Amino acid sequence: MRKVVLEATWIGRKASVRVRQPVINVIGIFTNTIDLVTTQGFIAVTTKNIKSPIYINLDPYTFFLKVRNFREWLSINQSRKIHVKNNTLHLGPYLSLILKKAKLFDPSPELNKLRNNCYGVDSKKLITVKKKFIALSKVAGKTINDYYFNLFSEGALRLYQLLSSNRKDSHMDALLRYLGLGNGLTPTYDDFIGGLVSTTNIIHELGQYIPKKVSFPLNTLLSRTTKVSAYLLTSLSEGDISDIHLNIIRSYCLGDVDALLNYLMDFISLGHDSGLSMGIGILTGLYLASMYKEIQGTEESVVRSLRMLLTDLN
Amino acid sequence: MSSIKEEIEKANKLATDRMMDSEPHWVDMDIAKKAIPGFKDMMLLHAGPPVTWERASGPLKGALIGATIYEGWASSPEEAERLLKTGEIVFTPTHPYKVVGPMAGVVSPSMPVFIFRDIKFDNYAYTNMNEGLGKVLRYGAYGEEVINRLRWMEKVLYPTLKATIKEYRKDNPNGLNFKNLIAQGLHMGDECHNRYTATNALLLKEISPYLFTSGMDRKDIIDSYRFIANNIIFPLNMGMAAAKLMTLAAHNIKYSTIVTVMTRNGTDMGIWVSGIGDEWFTGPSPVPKGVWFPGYSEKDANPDIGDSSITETAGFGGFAMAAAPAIISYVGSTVEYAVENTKRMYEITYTKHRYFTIPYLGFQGTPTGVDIRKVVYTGITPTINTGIAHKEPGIGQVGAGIVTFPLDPFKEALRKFAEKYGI
Repeated sequence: MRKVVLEATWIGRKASVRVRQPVINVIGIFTNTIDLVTTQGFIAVTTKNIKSPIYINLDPYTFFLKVRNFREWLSINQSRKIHVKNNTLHLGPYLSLILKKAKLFDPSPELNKLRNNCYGVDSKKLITVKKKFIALSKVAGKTINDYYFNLFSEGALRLYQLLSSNRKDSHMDALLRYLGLGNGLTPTYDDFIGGLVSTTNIIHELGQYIPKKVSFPLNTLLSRTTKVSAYLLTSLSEGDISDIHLNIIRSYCLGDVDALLNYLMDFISLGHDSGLSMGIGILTGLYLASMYKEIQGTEESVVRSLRMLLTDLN
Repeated sequence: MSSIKEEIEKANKLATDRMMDSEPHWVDMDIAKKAIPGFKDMMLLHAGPPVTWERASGPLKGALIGATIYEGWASSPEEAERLLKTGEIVFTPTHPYKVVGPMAGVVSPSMPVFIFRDIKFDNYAYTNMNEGLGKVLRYGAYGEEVINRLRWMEKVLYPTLKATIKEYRKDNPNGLNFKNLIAQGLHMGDECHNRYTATNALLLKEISPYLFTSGMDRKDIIDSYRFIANNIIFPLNMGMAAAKLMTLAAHNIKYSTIVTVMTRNGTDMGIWVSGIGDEWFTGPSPVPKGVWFPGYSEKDANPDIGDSSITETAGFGGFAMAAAPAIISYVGSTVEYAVENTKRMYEITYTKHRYFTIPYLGFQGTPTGVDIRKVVYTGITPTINTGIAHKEPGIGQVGAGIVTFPLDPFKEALRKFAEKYGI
């Protein structure tokens, strides 16, 4: 088989630091993505058309449309060590990835523009967006099993309690109780929590509405879910979000409901139900932000309100 | 009562059945303003969705200027530009008129057009004649050689072909079955968008006896034969008219999520969806990646342009690249890529074509009927092959390549669909 050498087109700022290590572990291989981990954190190598968390971006034109055989072609598996020499990642016997010309990408300047200028979208409109997002996903052929709806509601409530009280450990434990439930290497509940917490964390960093930031304990994550999901959740909570996720938050801050739904639709295509779960998680995070903005209600009113958002999922 | 999902399934099956069962035939030729219903003087048709003069791309502007000069409405490019800018000459998309044209796709009232009829569903479609490669009107060139060639086509090629098809119909009253030519072409190494080498030979084989007995001047017959024989993509426009009839048969079917138009004007690309009707959903037209003519590179390229993606909309062209490995020498990439692209397009299409098959894939039908639901579900958008025009007016073709459409128009269409059907 012919060896292919590709040049990365751009690389996330954090990933550029992480790949300075000589050895990196493979933690997951998907049809379009290789997930890697270093002692400093998580890296996803994805193709250009894939809009999941993107850290090193490859131009797919040369060969990446062969994605259906991607796993076999790479001839690498989980736990394999990837070597880094001369700023080049050697991924299996057939693929080398030169990072030298990759442009550094850092979403923080975009977010900085929104700092203290996040006007938000009112919660009623977010419920309408949710209804449309679910309906459009359904027409496109993606649904979430009803079973997860209750878990999402409970997770959102636990996050609210975590954000609103000082009983950090017990609420964190409750938030992570259903971790690992669902399909795939990033299970359904994990995707929801990833979207939810990364969103509330970023809104908090923008100086708006959300009272504090939540950090996941990596060891707990590793004991409860897949390795891929554990590292992905950690990265998401640290603010390593995809450009689409960023655009959703920007649309929310600018009050642009139409753009918000439009960007949410980009999540539909991701994974089995990962994109849909993460999209609902993001929407729920935005909804929590709006609730903090609009009301200082009792816990009962928040529960009612969250149930209003996370009802009739299908 | 059926659920919405069942309604969509039924509608999409009907739409793709009609698309595949359509029977496009070349039946006649005429002057555009006589043949095309609603076509008027001081009016030009162009490829793609609507666009203003200010936003129009270089090659589209060039072709509109050239057509204005060809019609005798202006004697200089400057005068033509003024008439187009001020709206004294109206330019409007081809598709609502059931017309298709490659690249800029400009059709003017005096231009001769092929007339195609779908004998199964009794629809008509129209297209202009292909001028060849390089410096041609459809790529935005409008110099003297371009205008002279168009005049020769009007004075010599058009009457010769009109007489030929008339003669042909004495033996074949329904006209020339173009679906058969495409099906055969796909088995002979063409994909019938950018490669028509085999189909052109088949076309000439089919019409030659009638060309020779058409009663036209001997020199005109020889010149016409040579022009077609030397222009290996001469059948492109005819294949597009056939594709237009196939997709027209699938259009306006309630609840259908099948795409019935995909087209580009060099600035925007746009789609129509069967169950939504003639509403445009647009996004920025991407710049193709490809192979460049000597002296040109990507920096010279205009974003993608032309109605020719109607071929992919109907289930051939770039979607059938696995049938045409030799296309790679023209558009770049690898043979493996050509095969993979066809396989990838199955993921966003409703069905496999009953009549267009690919020998290399075990005579599997081509991917047919782009379904907006599947595009949004997978995030995969149609990939086609295409010619590349220079971004400045007046220059022409600078290469050929491959282009992938943006996702936004498909997302917008799905939103509109949900709104229209109360989902």
